[in-house]
Amino acid sequence: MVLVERRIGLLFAFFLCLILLAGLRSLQLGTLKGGMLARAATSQQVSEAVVPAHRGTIVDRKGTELAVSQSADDVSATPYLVLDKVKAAKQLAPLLGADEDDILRKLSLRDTGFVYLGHHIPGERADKIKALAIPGVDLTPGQRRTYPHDFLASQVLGGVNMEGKGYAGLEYSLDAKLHGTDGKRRIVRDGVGEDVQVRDLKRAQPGNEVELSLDSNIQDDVESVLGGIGRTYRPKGATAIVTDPRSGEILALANWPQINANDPSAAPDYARQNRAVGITYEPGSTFKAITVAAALEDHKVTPQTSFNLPPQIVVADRTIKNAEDRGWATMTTSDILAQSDNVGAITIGQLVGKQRFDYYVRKFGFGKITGTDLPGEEQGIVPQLKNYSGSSMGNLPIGQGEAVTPMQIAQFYGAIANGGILRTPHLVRRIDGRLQAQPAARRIMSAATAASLRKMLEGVLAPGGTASEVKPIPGYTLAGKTGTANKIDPVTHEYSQSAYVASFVGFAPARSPKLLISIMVDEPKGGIYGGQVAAPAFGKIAGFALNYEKIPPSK
Amino acid sequence: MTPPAATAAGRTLPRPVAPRAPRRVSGPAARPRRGVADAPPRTRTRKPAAQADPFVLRALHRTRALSDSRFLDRLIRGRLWIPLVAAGLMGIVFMQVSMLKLNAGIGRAVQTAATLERQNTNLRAGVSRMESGTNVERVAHDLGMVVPADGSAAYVNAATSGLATAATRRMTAADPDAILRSKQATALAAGQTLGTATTGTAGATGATTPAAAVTQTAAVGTAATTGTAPTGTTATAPVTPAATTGATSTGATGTGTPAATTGTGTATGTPAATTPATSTPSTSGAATAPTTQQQTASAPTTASTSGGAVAPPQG
Repeated sequence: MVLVERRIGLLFAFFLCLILLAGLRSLQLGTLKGGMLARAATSQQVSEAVVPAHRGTIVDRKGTELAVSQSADDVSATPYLVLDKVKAAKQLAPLLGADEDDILRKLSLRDTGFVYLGHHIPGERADKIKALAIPGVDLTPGQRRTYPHDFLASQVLGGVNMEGKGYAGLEYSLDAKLHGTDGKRRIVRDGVGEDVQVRDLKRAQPGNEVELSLDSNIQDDVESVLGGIGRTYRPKGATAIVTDPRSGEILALANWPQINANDPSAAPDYARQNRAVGITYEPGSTFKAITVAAALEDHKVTPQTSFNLPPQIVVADRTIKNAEDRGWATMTTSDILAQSDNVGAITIGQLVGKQRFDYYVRKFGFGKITGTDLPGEEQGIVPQLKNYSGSSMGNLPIGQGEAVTPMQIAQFYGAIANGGILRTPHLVRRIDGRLQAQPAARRIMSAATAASLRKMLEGVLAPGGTASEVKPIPGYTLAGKTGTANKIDPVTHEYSQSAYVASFVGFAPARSPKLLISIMVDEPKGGIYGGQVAAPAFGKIAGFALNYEKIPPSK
Repeated sequence: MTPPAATAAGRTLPRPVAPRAPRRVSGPAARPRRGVADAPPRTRTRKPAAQADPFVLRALHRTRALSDSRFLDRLIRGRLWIPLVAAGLMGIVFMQVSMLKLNAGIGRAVQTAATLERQNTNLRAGVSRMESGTNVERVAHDLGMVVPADGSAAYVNAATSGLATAATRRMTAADPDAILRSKQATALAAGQTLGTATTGTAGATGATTPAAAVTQTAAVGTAATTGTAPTGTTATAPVTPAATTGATSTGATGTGTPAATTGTGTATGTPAATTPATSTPSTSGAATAPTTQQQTASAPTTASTSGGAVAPPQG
C-alpha cells in the first residue's frame, strides 16, 4: 500500500514537473519571445493586399469595346528564398514568356532581395505560376490594359503605363474617370496558409465606362483609306477627321502611320502623336474659305461678284501669282474659290482689310485651342495685327503665314456645314452612362454666308474645280476645298520647294451636310496637291460613310 | 430575532429617508461630545440622489436583497448548472469553429470571385478581339466574300415599281471561281508582302489596292491605274499575261511576286494603262491625269524662279 502511494506520489511529481516545464516554456514564449513571435505571426499570417480597381472600359458609339482591362499579375521573386533556382527558372520561363537563362540570372542575384520576373502576366498564366507554389516567388495582382483592335484609333486612345496610369491620348485625359479607386483587403491566414479571415478595409471602386462618339467601322475605313495614301504617297504622316457637323461629334479620327496600341514602344515617337491636334501647319488654300467668309460677312462681295484679275499681284515688296501661269482673267468669287486662285483670294482679302481679316480669323476659332477633349492640343499661330508686315495681306488670305491644326480647320468647315454655328468637335459622349455636357455652340457667321459658302464649295468638286478628280457619289452632292501649302525648310527658313502639305476638307451632302471629312497629308511624295492626294480619300471615305450612316441621297 | 430588514426594505414602498441611528459599538460608552446634543441637526444643502429618484433606490434595495434570495441560492447550488455550463462551453467552441469555417469559406469565395472576374475580363477581351473589323474581314474573306467596289452600293427608289423585283432578279449566288481567284490573289498578295517588305518598297497592297503597290518610281502610272480600275479589289487579273508584262517593267523586281502588282492594270481591259508603265512612267502620255499632276507638281519651282514672283501652290 505504501509502495502504491509512493508510486502515485512519484507520478504526481513527474506530471507536476512536466506542468512546471510547460509553464516555464509558455512563460518564455509569452513574455521573453512574445514580441518577436507576435511580429512574426503578424507578418506571416496577416497581410494587407491592394485590390486594384478595374479600369473603365472605353467603347465606341455602338458599344464596341476599344480598350478593356484584364486581370494580370506582376511576378516577383526574393532570390535567396528560391531554393532550387534552376528548376524554378525552367518552370517559370514558358509561363512568363521569357528566356530561361534570363530568369535564372535574375534568381541568382545576390545583391538584392527583390527582383521582378515579369510584368502584367495574364490571368491564366499567373494562375499557373501560383499553382507551382515556388517558395520565394510572389504575385502582385494588377490590371493589364488591352486594345482588342490593336491599331484602331491607337493615337486617340493613347496608352497606360506600368503603374496603370494613362500617359497619352484619352487614357491620359480621362485617367481620373477611368482609373477608379484601388481597394485594400486584410487577409489572415492560418498556419498552413489557408485564409481564415478576409476583410475589405476599403472597397475597390471600378473606373467609369467611357463611351466615345467614334464609330469603329467608320474609323476602320478611314484608317484603311489613310493606309492607301501612306502606301501610294509615302508621306511623313497623315491624319483624317470625320465629324457630324450638326453635333460636333467626331465619328473617326485616324492617323498614319498606324501604331499598335498594344505595343506602342515599337513605333517611333512621331507616329505616336495625334496629329489632328498635336501639329500645326500652314493651311494653304483651305484658308481661302476664311477670306471669302469674311468678305461675305462684311458684304464686300457676293458669290457672283466679278473680278478682273491680273496674272500677278504686288503686295508691298512681294509679287504673288498663281502656280499655273495665266493671263488676265475675269472670275467671280465662286470661281476664285473653286479654282483656288491666289490673286483672286488676295484681292478679296484686301477688300476685307487687315483689321477685319484679323477679327474674323480669330472669330472663326483660329489662334486658340478648339477645346476638344483630346490632350496635347496646339493652338496654332495667328500673327497679331500689330505684327503684320506690309506684305502680310499678300500671304495670309491664301493660307500662308499662319499655322492651324487639322482640328481647327475641321471645326471651321463644320460651322459652314452647320449653318454658321460653330460646335467644338468632341469625342466623349457618355461617362458611366451619363451624357456629357458639351461646350456651348456659337454663331460665327450668318446662315446666309454659310449657305453661300456651301454652294460655292460645291464648285471645287465640279468640273474645272481643283478637286474635280474626285469620283462622284451617285445621288449625293459633295462640297469641299483643297489645300496645298509649302512647308518651311528648317535649314533655310524659307518655303521649301520639295516639302508640301496636301489637304482637303469637305462635307456631304452639300446642301444639308451630315458628314464632314478633313484630310491632311504631310509631305507626300509623288504628288503634292490636295486635289490629287487628299481629295480622292475624301471621296472614298464619304462613299463608305454615307451608305454606312444610311444618309439618304440628296438628289 | 433580527427582522429581515433587507427583505422588508425591499418590499417597502419608497419613503422619505429617516436619519440613521448611530451604530452600536461594544465597549465603554463614549462621552458625549460637547455641544453635540445641543447642536441642531445638520441640514444638507443638497437632496440625496435616492430621495430624488425612488427608482434608483428601489433598484439598490433589490440588488442588496439578491444575495439573500433563496431562489438564487437554489439555482446556483443546483446540478443543472453542470450540463448548462458544459453545453455553453461546447457552444462557444462550436461557434468559434463555425466562425473559422465561415471565414475560410468567405476567403475561398473571394478567391473564386477574383478568379471568375479574371476569367470574365479575359473572355470579354477575347470577344472584343473577335469583333474587331480586321478579324471579321479575315473570316469573311475565308468564306469567299469580297469587298464591293467603291460606289457600287447605292440607294434605289422604293416608290418606283419593279425595282425591287429587278433587284431580286439580279441577285445571284457567289461565283465559286471568283472566290477561288480571290483566294489566289490573297495568297499572291501575301507573298508579295513578304517580298516587298525586304526591299523596303510599299508592300501589302497587291490584292486590295494594286495601284498603290507599284513603287514610287511608277507613281504616275499607278495613279492612272487607280483611277480607271477601282475594281482592283477582285484581283482577277493576275492571270492575264499583260499584267505580268506591265509588272515586270515597272521595276517591281525583287519583290518576288510582281504579278499581283499589276492585277488592276489589266483588270481595266485597257492595255494602254499597262504600256506606259512599261516604258517611262513619269512621262507617260497614256496616264493623262497623273502626268498633268506631275507637271503641275513642278510648277511652284518653275514659277518661283521666273520673274521673281512668288507662286504659292493652288489647292
